[in-house]
Amino acid sequence: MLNKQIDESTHDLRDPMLSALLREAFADDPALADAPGRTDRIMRSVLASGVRPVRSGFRWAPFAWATGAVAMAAAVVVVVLGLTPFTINHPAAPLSANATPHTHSPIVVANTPPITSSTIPNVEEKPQPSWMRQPGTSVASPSYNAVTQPQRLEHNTASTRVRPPAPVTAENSTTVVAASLYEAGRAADAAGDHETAYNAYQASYTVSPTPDALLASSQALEDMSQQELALDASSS
Amino acid sequence: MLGSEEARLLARAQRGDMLAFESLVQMHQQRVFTHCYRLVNNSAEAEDISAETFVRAFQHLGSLRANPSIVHWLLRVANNLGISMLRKRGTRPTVELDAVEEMRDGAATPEDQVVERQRREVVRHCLDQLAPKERVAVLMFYLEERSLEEIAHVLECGVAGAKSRVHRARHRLKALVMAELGEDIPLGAEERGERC
Repeated sequence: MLNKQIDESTHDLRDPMLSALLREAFADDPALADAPGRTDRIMRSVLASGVRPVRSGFRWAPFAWATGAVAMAAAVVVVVLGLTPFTINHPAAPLSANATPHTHSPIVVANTPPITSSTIPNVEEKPQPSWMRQPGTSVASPSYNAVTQPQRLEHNTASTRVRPPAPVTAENSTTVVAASLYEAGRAADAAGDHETAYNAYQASYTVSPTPDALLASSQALEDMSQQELALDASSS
Repeated sequence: MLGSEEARLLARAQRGDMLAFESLVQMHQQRVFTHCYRLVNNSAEAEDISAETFVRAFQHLGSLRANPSIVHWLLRVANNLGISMLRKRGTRPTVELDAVEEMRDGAATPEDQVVERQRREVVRHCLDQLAPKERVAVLMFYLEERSLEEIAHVLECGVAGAKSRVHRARHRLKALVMAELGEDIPLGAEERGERC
């Protein structure tokens, strides 16, 4: 079958006339007679040239191809099996069939000391947002940083979630909760979780009564801490 | 079988056996020389090209593979060397008239000898007018009766390209011969009592 195909492909090229013409042109050409000494002449040329065989060495090309193919196959397997440590958590990323819907992360204030403790950290005041600053009212004491506690918040930078907040007890006022929520929102915003930050801001605004109340409660807390200091001084 | 014998000799030559390499030279030198001679139409140059071909074969001995034979690699190298020589020489290589005159001592009459000699000269002169690769294609196909696959391997092109070259060369050569000899050579596959 193969020979038939080959014959058919050259059938239109066959030309006995031309073949005869060419055979005649080179017929009995003495130059084409087998020269016995030609092999010796060629071998002398080879030895006289000084050329040495190039060592073939290790065939790198097939090895490189095989290595690349194995690496590609391994990468495909890793991606398919989901063994990579990287996951896409972008809020706008479409959910896969198996993925659970994205739930709002609870607002987290981790490792935040209770405001009622006597150890009030002394941190520089950060500029207050404009909606907190009322004309004619004094700005909260620089020593009080219930509002400005971003430094004390700890959040997991490896993911966008923040830890659950401290339970609201009777000792916590709504103002404190509002401030905590506000700061948690700022922390989430800084971490890139904009949805959580928005929810925290929203919750903070909902919880806090008025800016005046916020300022008033912060002044009250300042007074409380001063009284405690005076008590300690008199007892010693 | 020639293939297995050649493979055995090649393996020994690759291990450094010079006698095995000489056997390979003996096996293929005639065919390489014939190919070169028909290409450049000069025996001295054909000898040089043949020698250079085997020098290169010796240099690249490690990468040669007898699948099915190293002769295609040899012819390819010889082809390229021959084409380079033709380009250096120019487009009109000399025809060895002395060699042509010594031919055919057994012809019937002196006039027949002259006519025959003239025809050979004309045909070879027309062959020289062809481009080198077309010349190789038409000689390998019509004179040496090689397959299109072998021609493609030597010319470093595809089978379709080889077929196209053979077709083009055949038409051009016939047109040149007709113009020189003034004979009407049919383009069809007519036989004149001779087998291909």
